[in-house]
This record gives sequence, C-alpha cells and structure tokens, in this order.
Amino acid sequence: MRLIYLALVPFLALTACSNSERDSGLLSGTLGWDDPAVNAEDQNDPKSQAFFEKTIGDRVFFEVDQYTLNNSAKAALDTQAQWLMNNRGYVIIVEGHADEQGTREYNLALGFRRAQSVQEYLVARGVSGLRLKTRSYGKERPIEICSVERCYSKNRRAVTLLTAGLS
Amino acid sequence: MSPGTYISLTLHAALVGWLLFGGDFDRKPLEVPVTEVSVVSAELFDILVNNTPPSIDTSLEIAATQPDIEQSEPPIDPVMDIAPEKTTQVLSPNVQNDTLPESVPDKPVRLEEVIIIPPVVLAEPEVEHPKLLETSLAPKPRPALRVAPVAVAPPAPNIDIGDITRDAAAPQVVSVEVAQEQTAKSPQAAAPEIVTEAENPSEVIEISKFAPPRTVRPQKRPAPSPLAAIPEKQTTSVVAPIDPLAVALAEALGGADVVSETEGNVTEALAPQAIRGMQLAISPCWNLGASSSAVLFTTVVVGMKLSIEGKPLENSIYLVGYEGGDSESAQRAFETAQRAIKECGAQGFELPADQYSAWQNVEITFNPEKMRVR
Amino acid sequence: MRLIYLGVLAMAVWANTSLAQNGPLKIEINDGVIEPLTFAIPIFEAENLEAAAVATEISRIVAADLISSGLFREIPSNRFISRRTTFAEAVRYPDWRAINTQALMTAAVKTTSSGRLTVKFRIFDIFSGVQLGSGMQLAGDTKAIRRMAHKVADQVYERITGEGPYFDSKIVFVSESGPKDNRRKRLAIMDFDGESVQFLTGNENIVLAPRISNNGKQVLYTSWETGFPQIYLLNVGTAGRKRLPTPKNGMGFSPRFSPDSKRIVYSFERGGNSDIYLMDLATARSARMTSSPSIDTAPSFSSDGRQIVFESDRSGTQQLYIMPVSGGTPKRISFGNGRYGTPVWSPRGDLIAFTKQSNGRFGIGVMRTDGSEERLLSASFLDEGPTWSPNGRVIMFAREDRGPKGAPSLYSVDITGRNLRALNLRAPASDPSWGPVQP
Repeated sequence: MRLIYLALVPFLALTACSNSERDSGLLSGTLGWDDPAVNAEDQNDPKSQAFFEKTIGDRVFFEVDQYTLNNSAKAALDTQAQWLMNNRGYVIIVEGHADEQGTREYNLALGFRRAQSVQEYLVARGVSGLRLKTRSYGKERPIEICSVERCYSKNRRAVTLLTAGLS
Repeated sequence: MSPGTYISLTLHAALVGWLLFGGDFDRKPLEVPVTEVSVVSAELFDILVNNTPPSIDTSLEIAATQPDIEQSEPPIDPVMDIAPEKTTQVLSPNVQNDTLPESVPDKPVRLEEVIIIPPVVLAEPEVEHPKLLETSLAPKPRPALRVAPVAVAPPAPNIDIGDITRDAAAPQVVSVEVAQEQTAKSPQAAAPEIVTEAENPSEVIEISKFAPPRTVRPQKRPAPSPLAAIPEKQTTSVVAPIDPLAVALAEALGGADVVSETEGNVTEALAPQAIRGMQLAISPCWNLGASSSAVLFTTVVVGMKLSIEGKPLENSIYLVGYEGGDSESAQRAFETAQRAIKECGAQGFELPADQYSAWQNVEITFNPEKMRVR
Repeated sequence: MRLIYLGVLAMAVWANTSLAQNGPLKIEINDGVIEPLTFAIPIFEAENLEAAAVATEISRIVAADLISSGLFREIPSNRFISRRTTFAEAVRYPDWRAINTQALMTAAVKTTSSGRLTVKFRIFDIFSGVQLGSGMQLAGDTKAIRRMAHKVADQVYERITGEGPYFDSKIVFVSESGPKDNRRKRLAIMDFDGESVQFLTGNENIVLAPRISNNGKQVLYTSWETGFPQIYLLNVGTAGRKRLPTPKNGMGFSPRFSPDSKRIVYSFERGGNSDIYLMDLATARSARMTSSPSIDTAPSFSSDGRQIVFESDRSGTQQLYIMPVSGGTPKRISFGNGRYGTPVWSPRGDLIAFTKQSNGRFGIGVMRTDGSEERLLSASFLDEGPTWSPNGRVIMFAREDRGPKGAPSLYSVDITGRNLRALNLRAPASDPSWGPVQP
C-alpha cells in the first residue's frame, strides 16, 4: 500500500500544478498518446515540452529577407529533429515570423517560406511529414520591439511548436 | 489501517486507474475557447450578398462539391491562436500605454440604415440687385493717358525701303493661321525670348503666337494728340477693307497720311509692356488650388470686353473654347479664369486709352500646363 | 521698287483681310497660384427653433470637411462684415470681397417633430459675382445629421472643384490595442473623418488587411481564427461572417474584391510558396493566376476589373506587376530604386498607389499604370497600406513609429502630395480600406 502510495506521489504533485496560460499542460493532453504520463513542466525531464524549448531550442533565426538556413540554424534543427524523433507523440507546427522591416502581406509570405524551410529540413532529417504543419504570423508577433537590428534579428525566426497529437 | 489511509488509497487507486485506463474511452477534444462566430446561414447570406436563391451548401466545407482544378480543404482542427512564448512576459494586455476606444461592445454593433433623399434643385434662384455687383471700394485714380514710350517720327513721304526690309525680318508669319484658331494649342514654351522694352519695342515679346500679325509697316506712333488720333482710327475702322489698300497705295505713291488701317489696328502696336502688365495682373488671381486634376489638364480661352478704363464689362466674359478636358472641366476651368479676371481686373487693367480699339476685346488663353503637380 | 511696294501692299492686304475687324487682343496666361480657396459659411438659418443646434452642427461639419480636403480655407466669422439672418436675403458681394472671401455658402435647416430634417443651400462665387448653380435641397432623418452634412459638403466640393465627392463615405480599418508584442486587433468601421467608430469583430484573433467592396456592403479580410490564416467574408450590415473555402493544403490571405464584387483575388500559400488566385464568389471555385517560385501577393483589381496589379519578388526584390485577369504574362511596372508593395489601383483608373521601401524608410507613392511618373507622397519610419478615396483624389495609409511605444495611426494625403494630415482617432489604427460614397 505504502509503495503504491509512494508511486502515486508524483501524480499528486502533478495535479497540484497550475496551467500556465500559454502551455496546455498535461491535462489538456500535450502528452503523446504512447508516452507514460510525465511532468511536462519539469524542464529537467528530457521528454517534456519545456525541455524542448529551453534546452533543445525551439527556434532558428534568419538573415534579413532570407529564408534559407544558415549553418547554426541547421545545427539547431539537427538537434530538434533528433529529439522529435525520440518523442513521436507530438504534432508539430512550424511557425514563421518576420521583422517589421517589410509590408504586411510580404512578411506573411516570408514567414511561410521560413516555416517551409524548417519543415523541409526536418523532414529530410527523418521527421515524419505527417506530423508537421506550417503557418505564418508575418510581423504580427514580434518578440522584441526595440526597432533596431538586435531586436529585428530575434524576430526573424521560425519556431517549432509542440501541440497535441491528433486523436 | 486507518480510515483516512483507506480513503486516500481508494482515491489514489481511482486516480491511477483513471490515468492508466482512462484512455480506453474516447478522449474529449480540448476544451478550447472557441470564438463565438455569428455565422449567418448561407441562405440568408446569399440573399444578402448575391441576391441569389439559396442553393449552396450549408456548411463551411465545400470539399465534395468542389470540382475542377482546386479542391478546398475541410476546416482545420481548431488550434488556438497561441501567443509567442515568453520567458519573462506575463501575457496580460498592458493597457497603460494605449487608450482603448470608447465603446467596446461585446458583440459587433449593427449599423443603422440611414436614408438620405437625393438632392433636389431649389426652385427659385437668388435674385441679385445690380447695384450689389459693384465694388464698394474706392476706385483707384486712373493714370494719365499714356504716351508711347518711344516716339517714332512719322515717315517721310518717300519711304525708305531699307526700313521696311529691316522690319520684314521680324514678324511672325504664323500669325495668320493662328488668328483663325478658336482653341489654344499648348505652346511648348509659352513665351518667346524676353526682350526688354528699352531694347526693341517693336518686337513682339511675351505674346502668345495668337497675337495678331505684325505687318511689315514700320512702327508708327501718332503724334501725341489722342483726340486727333481716335477719330481717324474710327473712320478708318469703319471702312476697313478698303482703307488699307487706299492708304497703302497712297503711301506708296507718297503723300498720304501715315495713319492707315493697319496702323489703326494697333494690336501689333500695343506696347508689349501693357500686355505683360495684364498678364502679371491676372496671374496672381488665377488660382487652381481648388480645382480637380482634370481641370489642371484643361486649357480654356476666355473672351471679354473691357471698358475704356480697362475694366471687364459686366456679363462680357465668356468661354471662347477649350482643349484637353471635357465640358465639365472646361466649365470649372472657365470659372477659375473668370474669378481671376474679375478679382484682379476690378480696378481696371493698365492699358492705354488711346489704343482702346486695340484692346477693347481681349481673348485670354489660360494654360495650366506648367502648374501641374508643383 | 514698285514691285517691292506692291509686294508689301499685297502682304498688308492679305494680313488685314484675314483678320477680323479690330481683332481681339490675344494674350496667354500660363502662370498662376495654387492656394486653398477661401470660403465662408455663415451660420445656417434655422427655420424652426429646434433646428438651431442642428443647423450649427451641420455648418461646422461642412466647414470641417472642406478644410480637411486641403483645397479650402475658411474665413472666420469674426471677420464677417455682412450679418446674414435669413436664407433668402441677397448677398452683398462687396462685403465679402472686402474680406477676400472667394466662395460663400448660405443655407437653411428645418426639422420636423417626426424626426425629418431638411437642408437647403446655395453657393456663390464672390469675385465673379454670381451664384454657382441653382442651389439644392436635401432631406433626411435627424439621426443622419453627419451624413447630411457630408452630403452637403460633397455638393459644394464637387461644384467648385469639379472633383467627384468623397465626404459621405466609410472606412473599414483595423483597430489596435495592447503592447507592440501582443497586439489585439479587431475590424472596425468609421466615417471618413474618424467619427462613429463601430466594431465588426471581437479582438480575440489577429485580423488583417480588410478590404471593403465597391458597394460598401461586404468586407474581405484575413483572420487567424482557426489558428491558421484564412480568408473571411463579412457582411457589414449584420457583422455576420463566413470563411471562404480555399484549395487544399494551403492557406489563403490578403483577399480583395473585383469592382463588381463577384470575384475576389487573393494570395494562396502552399508548400511555402505564395501565388495569386482568383475565386468566383458564387461558386467558391478558385483558379490559379500565377505560378512561380517567387512570393506573389497583395493583388488588387483595376478599376475596370480587367487587370490586376500585385507585388512579386521574382526579379529578386519586391516589384509591381500587372496582368490581365484572363491570364497572361505579368508585366513589371516598377523600376525605381527600392522595393514596391501593397499596390492599389485608383478608382479613376489613372494611377496605382503603393508602399515603397528604400534606404531603410517607407513611403507612399503613386505611379501611372504603366509605371511612369512615379512620385512619393510621404515618407517615414513605416508608412504602408494605401487606400484610395472614392474620387481618386486622396490616399489614406497607416504610419507607425519605431520602438516599443510605436503604434500605428491613419494619415491622409492629397495626390499632389499636399495636405498630409493625421486622422484624429482615439486608438491606434492600421490597414484602412476606403468605402464608396453612400447613396
């Protein structure tokens, strides 16, 4: 009895944790169907989304007006691809963004191109295309807003988002 | 075991059981906050939009009925619009830096249908008292009658051929056909070279090519006796077609008075500075700042009669012709010209009274070519 | 000698017989001024007591409209010499001339207990000393005071300038709130002068680049309502909306109406590449118009509905191209130094407005439809998204400042480049789309 109880303690801790606004959290099913229930909030858990974001790195950056991947982007994507293949439960949305140095529609289209670059690269590294979707936010969702290059460079990005798997 | 432990165990077993086996049952989809979409039914929509009887599918998907090149896709899983991840930012709207609009209704507001009856022309136009048309401002004193700036001696009865041939080089031959024209051609350079009056008064300067022709006759100014001059001109003008011949013959034969019809027709003798003065007087009043783009492409020729004081006579301003626009632009352009003439001509233009017949009728070409997009 | 005399004589006769007797003096004026026309609007006569406040309000709106066009300048009432009390009294022209009034408007307003409103007015050309036209009368509802005023102003504007009207129109735009890195956006509609703002959507999702139809009844826009950009059609009267189906495996954005509102042209992304597509609204069928690996986006119909203009980076940088709606090879029309985007065809058909980027700055410009006579009308850190007034004389666009506090606001400018002015809205706004003059 005690042993069962002890084994269940992690679940208790889990139920006590709160959802952050942005993260769906365990109860909303970010877990892959195959995987045992783990604590998604635990950054030290190598299977968690937080781990993916913080340690693996969920984004790559681009030069002005470019959508091709430079070497550091490719290296980052290699790491991403590996993790994604070891954690197959996630459906992935690759999200492209642009800085504000462009008109609205063009930046939308540029974001699509960037997302596509990343998607193609991940597929080439073995991630199943069925798991991948793309979308673009153009210049609508900047991370940094100081309107100089050091901020722009952070906004020219493609982010790999982990979402719920399809039922 | 204590009851507490027993209860705890049961609950945990239930929890574990749910965790392990809960998936056997259908998993509910995410409770994602979905925007309330007030979708108008397709029938109503088509009636509103296309005025077509509703015959289109009633769902958002078209998929199966989509023929041809492109197939539409079914609606995507409602994945929430996820804001970008931030490590340090709390995603609550910061209202400090902006002011939200005053009315923030929960639901979109229905717009009112407001009907305005189209404008109706008023029955009775305004009646004007003629006296009100006169300016109430004190009239400017008229300048003294002008004397020709350069007195030219009347020619000797034996005309010197040399003079004539010298002058013959000057006149513009094109002027004859030009006189026939009603509408203005936009001249490439509106004004030929500017020659000051001191240098060469007899040349035509700053006058458009519509200026009446100069003849080969040397410039002659009557002796400063306007009274004498005018009756002569008047008589000659009455018998115009015959006189030039007679006079010319008389002159050629040596003996006639130098005043001839051609000289009486002193448009060519009107001092260029008088013409320039008129141009300079009208230009500042010619305002195209409240005119359509089409008006800026329309050239109008405006005719008018002047009184002996040089003032435009009432109701004598009229549209001679136009070019470059349609009739509506021409009308608007005419109005800008009329304003210019009346505003700047109210005091009268400075023109020599002794040459009244030369400038009694005026035709002004208003050419906006140089005024576009300044 | 005699021969020469005769030759001279012949020329003289020839010259004179071809002239009218005392032919008119002909002169040319090719230089003038470009200044706003001065006008005066004495307070409108109120034909009944209750109409007094309405009369004042309408006269102020008319004056504001004319001034906002940049083509008119008001003579303030404290300079008036004549005091007018009735609509019917004669105009004392000398009094108005003395204070340099070039145009005068007189009017009278009447209201009825049943909520009806009548406005009648006359326009006078003071220096010419004549009435322009015969005057006019409009009738409407007391709820429609602003619209009545705009209609009156449109009549005055049209009669004096010769341009078509544009004051009685609405503009759809995106109303923004929140910090720059978490903007809330929602569709809104307002009068051209920024009054009567109403919302057409909520702000839970990003909405972009609305375009209003030529009859002012529908709006096309892009929304992330489903989590992915899609194109939507919204009914202005009811605010009801529906998603327009687009081809499989891709996403639609930046939709625009054809002049007859029967078709739309839009950008469709598939596999990372964006092309121009054409959709028939009745059948919801789409056809592909461009197929190139370049980004082709921001299409706009010509005013006659036969061509489109769009931006493409197929040459290496964003440039403008036109092509027939029926298909064909796109023809490049922009050749200046910089990048060109967001082209919109003037309702007059004569010009294309666009956003130009060069040397790190943005500006709004116009060019002829063959690309010639390019002119910039504005420049700043970020000007973009022009839209044409219904008479093709004024362009409105959004201007945003740099930095975290930067927020967009709407500006308008005359096509001559004059009269750049900010619209007085209380909240940030972007992506304007100017609707038609309302009937």
